Amino acid sequence: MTLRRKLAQRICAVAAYATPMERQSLARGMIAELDHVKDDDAVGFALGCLWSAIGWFLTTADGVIRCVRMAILLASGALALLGLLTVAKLRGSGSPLTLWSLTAISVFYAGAAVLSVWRGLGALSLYAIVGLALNTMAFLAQRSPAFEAEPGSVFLRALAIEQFGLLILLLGVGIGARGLAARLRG
Amino acid sequence: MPRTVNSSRQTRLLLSEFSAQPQAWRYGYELAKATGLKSGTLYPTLARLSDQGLLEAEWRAALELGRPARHAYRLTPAGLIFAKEQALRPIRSSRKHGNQEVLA
Repeated sequence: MTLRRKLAQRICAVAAYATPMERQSLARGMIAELDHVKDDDAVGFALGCLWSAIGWFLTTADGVIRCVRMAILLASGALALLGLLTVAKLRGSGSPLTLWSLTAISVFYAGAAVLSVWRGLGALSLYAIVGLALNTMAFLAQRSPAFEAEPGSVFLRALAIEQFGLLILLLGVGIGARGLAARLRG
Repeated sequence: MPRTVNSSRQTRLLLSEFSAQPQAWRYGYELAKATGLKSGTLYPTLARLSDQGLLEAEWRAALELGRPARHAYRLTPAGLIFAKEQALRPIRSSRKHGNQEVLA
């Protein structure tokens, strides 16, 4: 077996994995056809199969949901990691309030990452609503004079505003993706 | 004029290829060679035509010994009527000059 054919088979295996259930029969047909394709054409043919599979993946309900969940997992996981790294860096020099706030936010994002994989977008939307409520309470607490005196209060207030934006985005993406998936199913 | 679902050049090329041998079962690679379409265009088009009931597909044993079975496609009766209708329709019109090309 030539290297080109081996590569083509690998590409087709990825295409088969990406193909949604309702297109599996056609995907098996594409992969079986590879055995009848000339060596020179094999890689191009396999890349076309992969392109088709990605197209089907992105236009089916399961594909949309899986993509959005993966994007949320990556984004929230990265934010959680970034928060924890910042906490580690500020330890010793930052105020306890800043450190605790950053830790809480990081844990919140880690929770979003776990939930997007474990329970899906419905639970994630609920999580975002709870997060918005908690963030509103934190924002109101930050209006007290005692908070103004805390070192890093400006930074924490900016963080709370940024959190509002991200949570609304999370909620919007969750609801939007579910709506799109429902339309595709219908 | 609104664009019809199966009015793309690639789809019409494929329908024209099928209607040249309406009873024959055709294979993906063979269709790609005959029409010049890449597999990334061919298979989504085949899938769409199948969804619309214009194509039927089945697994057929390979002629060569030891080769895997192949997925073959051919037009359904409705697909054949549709392909003939499409062949008679103009495929592109120039707004500027009003010229029309007709699929041969």
